[in-house]
Amino acid sequence: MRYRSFPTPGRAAVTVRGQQAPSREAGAGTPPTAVLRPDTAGRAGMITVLTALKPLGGPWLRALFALTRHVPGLTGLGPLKSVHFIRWTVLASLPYNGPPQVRERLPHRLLLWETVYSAPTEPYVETFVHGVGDKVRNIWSTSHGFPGTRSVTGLAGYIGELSITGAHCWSAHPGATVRTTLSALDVAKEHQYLVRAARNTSPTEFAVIYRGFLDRRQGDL
Amino acid sequence: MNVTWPATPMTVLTPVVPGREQALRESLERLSGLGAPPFGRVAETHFARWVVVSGAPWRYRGLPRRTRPLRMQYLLFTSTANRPPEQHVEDLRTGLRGDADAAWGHCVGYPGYQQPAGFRRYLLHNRLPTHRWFAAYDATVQEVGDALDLRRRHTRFAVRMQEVDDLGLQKAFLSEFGDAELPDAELPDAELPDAELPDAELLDTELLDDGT
Repeated sequence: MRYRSFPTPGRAAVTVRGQQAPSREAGAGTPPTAVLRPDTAGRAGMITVLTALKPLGGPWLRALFALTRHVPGLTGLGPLKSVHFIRWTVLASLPYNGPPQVRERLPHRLLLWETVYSAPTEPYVETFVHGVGDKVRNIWSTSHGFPGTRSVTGLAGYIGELSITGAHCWSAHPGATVRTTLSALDVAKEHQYLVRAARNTSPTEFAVIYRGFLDRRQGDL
Repeated sequence: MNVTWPATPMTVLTPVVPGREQALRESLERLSGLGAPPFGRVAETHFARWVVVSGAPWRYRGLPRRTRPLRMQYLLFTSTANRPPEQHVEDLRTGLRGDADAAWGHCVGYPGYQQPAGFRRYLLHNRLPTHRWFAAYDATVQEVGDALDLRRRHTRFAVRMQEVDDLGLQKAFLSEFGDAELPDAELPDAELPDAELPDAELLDTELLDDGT
């Protein structure tokens, strides 16, 4: 049995990664053992993946993305609280800028997926498998080689092998996780009410209001 | 919160001039080693990243069987900023200045940051559409920074106030936070909002694809 390690964002400084991408020519029967090395900027992890879409993958994804734009709940990512931002792009051609750029026709449509997240990497992938596995499947089952979402190891291996390491990463708030950011925004939202109450109520009334705030927000402080 | 513009993704893919791939990598390495991070000077940018794409990075364990690698290498730039794309491009130009040239200067057709119109045209021409986008929050960089600072102050204050009586609590609160400016829109006195934030918004950025 071989074990993989999952580096945790925040335990390494922003670094330049010069490693070679792992070989993608290994046999299909080999268990996935690629190390998932996210780029880190403080406590944020960043992963960029390009996958090759199956022939009907492009139209399916465009329809799916259109549907989830109108029914956002179908995306199901809101409750994860570990994702800052995610983007998906279906790429059918590349921008052309004239010589010396070579005009090239992509052999397949590609799906570009980039995520910025804050949880340690292993729980993050686990959340994808156990929390929104069906949503992930809906998107990535259109890609060649997608192993499904039954196994955390399988999915992490897939992401690990396909992820393109960054040469330069930046985060405006490297010390903040998604959860602390959302908590801080919640606290800030109530703060103005507390200030107003402190100015306009008696000490006893304010104490009740403030303790109510602490009860509601103790998990955010 | 006064959100000036929703958090918006920008994705730009530019071809690297053949023969300058290594120089590009070295430039990016140098940028990462700078004491003052270049993107720290670009307004309202939450995250930004440069990645070099080469070969057939989509190939996983021999699949798909029939494929071919890219003939050139590409510099992929991704960012998230509370700015319309055109404004964000200008922020990149004026914020990164020479550091923009250090990266995109190795790409085909890049005009340099000193040509505002050319710079704008170049990045917008090479921009990729974002077909689906998820943002956990819409606050600006400044709002996030202020909120994180406020949260830290509230945490310290709550610890200090554990043994304080009601009168002392109100006095201490006003001393700590009383100088805060309240928003112009009057809020109902002492009426506390719901504890829950609205669901994280999903932003439609399909409209950002202007076909360039």
